Amino acid sequence: MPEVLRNDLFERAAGESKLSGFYVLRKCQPLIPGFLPQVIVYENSSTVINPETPALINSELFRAIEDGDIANINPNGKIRVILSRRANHNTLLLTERCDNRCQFCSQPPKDGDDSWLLEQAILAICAFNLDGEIGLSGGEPLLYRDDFIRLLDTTIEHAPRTRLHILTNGRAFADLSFTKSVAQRTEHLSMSFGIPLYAANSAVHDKLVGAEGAFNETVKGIINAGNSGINIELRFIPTSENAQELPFVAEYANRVFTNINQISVMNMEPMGWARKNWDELYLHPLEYPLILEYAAKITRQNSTPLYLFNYPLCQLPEHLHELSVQSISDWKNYYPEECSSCSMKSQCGGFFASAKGKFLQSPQRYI
Amino acid sequence: MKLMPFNFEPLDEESYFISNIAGFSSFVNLKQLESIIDFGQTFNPELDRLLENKLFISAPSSVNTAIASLASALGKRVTIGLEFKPIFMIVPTLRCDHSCKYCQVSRASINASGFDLDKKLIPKIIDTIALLSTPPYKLELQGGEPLLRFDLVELIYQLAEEKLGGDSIEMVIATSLSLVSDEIIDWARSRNVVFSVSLDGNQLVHDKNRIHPSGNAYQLAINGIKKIQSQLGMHRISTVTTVTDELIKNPLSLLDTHKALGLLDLFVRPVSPYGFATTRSSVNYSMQEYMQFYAQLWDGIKQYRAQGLPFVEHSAAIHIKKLFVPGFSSYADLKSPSGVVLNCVLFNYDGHVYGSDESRMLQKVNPQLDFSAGTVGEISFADSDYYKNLTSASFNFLHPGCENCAFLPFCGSDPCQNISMQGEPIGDKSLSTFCEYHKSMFKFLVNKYNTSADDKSLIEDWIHA
Repeated sequence: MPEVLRNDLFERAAGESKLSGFYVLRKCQPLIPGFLPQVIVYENSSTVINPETPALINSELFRAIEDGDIANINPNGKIRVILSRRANHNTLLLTERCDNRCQFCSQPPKDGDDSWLLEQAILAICAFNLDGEIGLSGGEPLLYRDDFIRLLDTTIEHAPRTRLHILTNGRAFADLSFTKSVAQRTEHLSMSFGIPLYAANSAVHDKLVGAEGAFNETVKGIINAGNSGINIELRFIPTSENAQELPFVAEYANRVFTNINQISVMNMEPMGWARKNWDELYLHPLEYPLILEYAAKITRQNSTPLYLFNYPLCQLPEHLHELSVQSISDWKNYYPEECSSCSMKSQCGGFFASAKGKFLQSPQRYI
Repeated sequence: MKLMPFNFEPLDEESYFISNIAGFSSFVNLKQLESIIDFGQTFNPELDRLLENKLFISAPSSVNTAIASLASALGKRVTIGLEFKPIFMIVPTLRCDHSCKYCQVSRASINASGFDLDKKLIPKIIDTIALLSTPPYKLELQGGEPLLRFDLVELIYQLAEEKLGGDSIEMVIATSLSLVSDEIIDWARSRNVVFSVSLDGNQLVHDKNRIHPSGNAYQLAINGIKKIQSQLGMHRISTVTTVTDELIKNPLSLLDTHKALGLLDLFVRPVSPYGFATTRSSVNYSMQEYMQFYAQLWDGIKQYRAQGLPFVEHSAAIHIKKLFVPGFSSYADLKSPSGVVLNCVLFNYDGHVYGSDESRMLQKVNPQLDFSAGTVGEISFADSDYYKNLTSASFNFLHPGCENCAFLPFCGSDPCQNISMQGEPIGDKSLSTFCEYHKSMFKFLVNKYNTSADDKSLIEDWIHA
């Protein structure tokens, strides 16, 4: 992999105890019993104070974390820091199951019961107890309806300063009573839901998400959620199938939906099924600047702002730069060789680490 | 595909403007319109996709979603329309040094007594404003001629500043500018005050209907405008133009008058059919003649814009925003539910409080009835049958004659005008001046938008005006 901005993956040393599962990473004593087991991270063996407690001796890991970060250690000894106080984004996977089959899914779903992921996530949120935002993604995070409500309730009780951003296809909100249950909790916990709508018609949307009936449920879901006072970030990924639909989605959002805080237009990430379907789906941003401009114009007339995510600045016309957000999570964000002498590098979001070879659209330097 | 409910309006023999209750709109030709109605589609895949995206037609499997979307959009519009965001109008005096032929409010003569606001009421008025609203507060001083009682104007501003906060208030003074003195300019300099003046055209046009004892209403207004512009800045003055028989004949003179003053913003409207305005002889033109005038004005504006003078006519800009900006609802005179009470609370010189400027005019014409919501300190709009009925009678999508109009989602209603002209708040739309005027404006603008690229780009510019 190319050099990412923040490494989140480490190896357990050969001799260390066979810890596995979710742990709170500690850099100091004392250990206080909490939601998750704790492990002390030492910079080197000479700094070990208490040989009795579970420990990891790893200078790289020690330098990468803050006291109280959360890691997932797998049985093969891979340590992934899943919640980091230094990260620009923190995201937890609630399930790998999904009722959509999006053609460009960066994290293709798996079947089978994985409800333990949600249980671990509840513990991780409470143990991390962040005064900040945690993203919840999937799969489809709202698939386990009641368990998701329990996650909200537990967070309200034990980590109430956490702000949750949930990435969902919104279909669960077509169920008004579920929507009301979530809406009640918004009084006690800050949360917003990122919901993608890829067209204002069922034919295009359902084809892209690979699920008949998805459009109907997602639209009703957004209507229910917005009208119940739930904050929504409306998402859109332009592809060769739907780029021309963006202005219609923008007008639909402004006329039909309520409580849309922003519209996020996101460049496709070359991961998962998007890699497989890249040639059919990928559209270079310079092929649709007028569409972006027009959609931005529609939303500027209203109070709903539109932002561009995951677009390297060199792939946008200059007058759209102001809408661009440096958005790629640091653990999968990099700048190819060509960017090193670019004058815009510090303001640019750079590239996905997965954008290599044919997936890397030749970066252009601004001199 | 399934047909969803929508309205249509012919623009010419071929073109139709279509809209639905969600506020989506588009253009189709007669053949396409008939095909939509007969088959739920035009068989032009690109147009059918557009019509589906805008909820004019629906895939059979998505009809329920389309219905839910139309309902949500209507709910959103009504909810925004019901927001209580009033401008607070205060009438310091009904006396006026002008006696304009089309005056709506039946001003009192300059030496009359009993037509000034009691100073002692002002603290109560400001308290009421603080109670009713949140910052920023918009205060508009109306008349009569407010500057006849500049002492009251000063006091209103001072108490508003103390109670509401200097950064939270904006005051508009509607004045003929005949009385703008150096003292008033000095006072306004450090305050958040703008002046709104009537300017009906050149000297000939203006002085024909706006009568000052000196015979110089025009010159007084021009002098005042220049004084404000040079000493306070260009942005401190705006004009309002009432179209009279004289201006109808010479639309371009209005642009020349404004151009000479460096004023590129116009606000042009036909004379109000309210109160006393139409009983005088200044208006004999039909709406058709008004629209001919307006078309000439439009062409004049386009010519000036081509020369680099970006004139904006704000009556049209308001209609344009209503058409193309979802959620635009801040203009009190073109909304449904109407702006009465919701967008206006008026404190009259005699201490009575009204929900609109038009209500005080109705009061003047019908002194035997009570159109007020009580007096300062003892007001209740909720207990007033008049205001309750007015609001509930002002949802245009329930009005016969509106419910099948293609401009319904963008238009408003004016229950006061209907009472004034027809004796009840809903009115027969075929007799309504409000309907005739606004429908004409909408039709004029969408036709321009649909037929000329130049006009379309002008209209898109004014969306942001």
